[in-house]
Amino acid sequence: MNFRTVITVWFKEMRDTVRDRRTLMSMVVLPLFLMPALIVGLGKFSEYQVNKLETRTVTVAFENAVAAPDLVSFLKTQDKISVIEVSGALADAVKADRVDAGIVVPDGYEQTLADRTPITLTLFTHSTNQNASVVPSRLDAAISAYNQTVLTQRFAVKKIDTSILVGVSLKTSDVATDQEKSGFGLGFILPLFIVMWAITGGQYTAIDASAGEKERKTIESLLLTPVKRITIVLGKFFAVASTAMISVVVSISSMYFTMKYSGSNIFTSGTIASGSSNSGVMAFSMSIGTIAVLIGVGLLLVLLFSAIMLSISIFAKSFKEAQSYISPAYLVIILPIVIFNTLPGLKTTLWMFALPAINAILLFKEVLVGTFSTSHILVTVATLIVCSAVAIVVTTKMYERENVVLKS
Amino acid sequence: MEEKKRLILDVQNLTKRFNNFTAVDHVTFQAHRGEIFGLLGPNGAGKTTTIRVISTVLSVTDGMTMVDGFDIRKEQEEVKKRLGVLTTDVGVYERFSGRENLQYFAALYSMPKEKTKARIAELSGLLDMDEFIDRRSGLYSTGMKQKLAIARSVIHDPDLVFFDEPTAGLDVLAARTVVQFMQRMKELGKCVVFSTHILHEAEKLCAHVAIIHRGIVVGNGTVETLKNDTKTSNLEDAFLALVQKGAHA
Repeated sequence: MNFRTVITVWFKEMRDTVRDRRTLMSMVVLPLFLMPALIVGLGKFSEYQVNKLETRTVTVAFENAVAAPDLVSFLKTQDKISVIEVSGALADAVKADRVDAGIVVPDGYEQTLADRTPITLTLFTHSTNQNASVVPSRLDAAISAYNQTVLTQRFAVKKIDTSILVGVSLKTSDVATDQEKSGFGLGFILPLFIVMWAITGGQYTAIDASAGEKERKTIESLLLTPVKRITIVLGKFFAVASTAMISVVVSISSMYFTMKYSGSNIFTSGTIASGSSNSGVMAFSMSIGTIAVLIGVGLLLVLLFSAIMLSISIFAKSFKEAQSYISPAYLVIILPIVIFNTLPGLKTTLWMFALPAINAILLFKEVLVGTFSTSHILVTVATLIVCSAVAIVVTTKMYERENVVLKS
Repeated sequence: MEEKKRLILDVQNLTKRFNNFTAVDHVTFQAHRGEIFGLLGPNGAGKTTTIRVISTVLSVTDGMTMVDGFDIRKEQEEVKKRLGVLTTDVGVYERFSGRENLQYFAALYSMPKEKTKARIAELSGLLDMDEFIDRRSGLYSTGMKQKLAIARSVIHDPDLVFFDEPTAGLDVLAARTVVQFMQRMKELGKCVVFSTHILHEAEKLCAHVAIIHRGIVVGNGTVETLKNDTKTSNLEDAFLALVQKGAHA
C-alpha cells in the first residue's frame, strides 16, 4: 500500500467535498449555526413559556359558591387567581377551557367547618389544556394558605401557638459541584449531538465518494489505475472521517462557546443555571481533559461511522439510492443510543462499554459529570478501534467485489 | 522475431462467466504495436466485458492473456500500468477542471509533477483542449468530456489503448478528432484496440479485426481476408455473413 497515493485520494475527495455546497452545509454550516440556534433559541423560548405560565392569572369558578362565602372571598384576595362565574355545568365549562378550574362546594360547608370536620372539595381541571398546567399547584398553595388561616383562628380560640404544628422541616443542600451539575444536564444533549454529527457530517462525502463515483461513471476509470483497492478505500475513508470530524469539532466548539457566553440555558431544571454567577453568565466550563476525551472518543466514533457509511454507500448505484440505504441505517444506529441516553437511573457496568457507539455515549456522560473510570475508557477505546478496523476491512472487501463496484 | 517484438496483446481462450451466464467464451486474438485493431460486434456481444477482463477490472474465469508479456491473472498492477482504457461511459469529476481531472489520474499513476505538466500540455494540444482545459468540467459539452476522457485514458502514455465505442453520440467534428487521435497513436507506434459496432469506421481504420457475437469470436484476421472468405465487398456484409454463420453453427 502506498500512503502517498492514500493522501492523493484523500486530498481529491476533500477538494471535491469543499466544492460541494450540500456537503459543506452538513459539515460546517449546520453544526456551526444549529447549536447556537438550538441552545439560545430553545433556552429563550423555554424561559419565555415558563415566565408566561408563572405570571398568568388562573381563573376559577365555583359551584354552590353561596355555601362557602369565606373561601370564595379568600381566593379572590390571592395573587394571580381570579374567581369568575360561568354558565352551565361547571365540568363542561372547564372542559371547554372557558375557565381553568372549577371547585364544587358541598352543601352544609359552613356547618361542617364549624364542627371541625374535614371537608373535601372537588376540583375540576383539564389536564390537556397546556395553559392550565399551573392550576393545581396554584390552587393547592391557595387552599393550604386558607387552611392555615382556619387553623390559626381555631388555635387562637384555644390560645395555642400554631408553631407546634411544625415538628421537623427540611433544608436542602446540594453537594453536587458546578461541573457535575452542568455535566449532568449537558450529558443528555452533547453526546447525542456528537453521534449525530459523527454520522451526518461525513454522510454526503461517503455517498459522493462511492455511489457518486458510480453515478458520474468515474468508478471504472479509477479502478483501471494501478492503485490497490485498499489504498482507494483508505483515501476515501479518511476523507469521510475528516469531514465528519470537522463537523464534530465545530459542533462541540459551537456548543461550548454558546453556553459559556450566551447566558442561555436549555436545561431548565436548574442544572447549569444553578452554577450561575452574579453577572448572569453561566459558570460553565469543561476541563482540557474532558475536551480531550470528548474529541478523542469522538474521533474513534467518527472512524467507525465513516467506515459503515462508506460500506453502505458503495452498494448503491446512485446518490438517491445511497440516501435511501443510509436513512434506515441511521435510525438503527441512533435509536439504541437515544434509549441508553435517556434511561432513568441507568447503572453502568463494564460490559456496556463494549457496546460500540453506546459505550461512547455512556463515557461522554461520565466524563462530563467527572466520574469516569480508566477501565471504562480503555474498554470503549479498544472496542471502537476493533470495530472500526473490521468495518474498514469489510468496506475494502466490498470494493473488491465486481458485482458491487460495477453495479449500474 | 519482429512479429514477436511487435506483439503487445495476446488473448488465448479468454472466458468470463457471471454465475451461469457466459459473457465471453474462449475468445482468442492478438494485437500488435503500430496498428489499430478492430474489436467488432453488435451491442451486447461481449466487447466491453472482454476489455474489462483484459484490463483486470473484472476477474478472468478461464484462458490466458498477456499484455506486453505480463499475465493479467498474476501481474495486474504491471498490466494496468501498460494499458489505457477509454470506457463507454465518459464520466468526469464535474467539480474539477479538465486539468485537475488529469492531474489526479497522473498522480494515481505516480507520475512526477513536471512530467504530468508536460504530458497535459501535449495532450491538450493534440486533442484541441487548450480553450477549455481550465474550465470546470461539469460545464463541458459531450464532445469536450469525450476529449477529456481520452486524455485521461492515455495520461500515463501507455503502449496499449482500448477505445470502447469512442465516437458514439459525438457530432462529426468531435468524432473526427477522436479518429485522428487514434491514427496519431498508431503513428507513434502504440497499439489501439478500437471496439465499435460502427463497421464503416472500422473498415477505414483497422487492418486486423476480431468479430465477436454472443461472446464468441466468429471472425478474426485482416479485413481483406474476412471479405474474401465471406465473398463480400465490404466489412459490414462480411460481418453479417459471419454472424449468420455463427448463429447457424
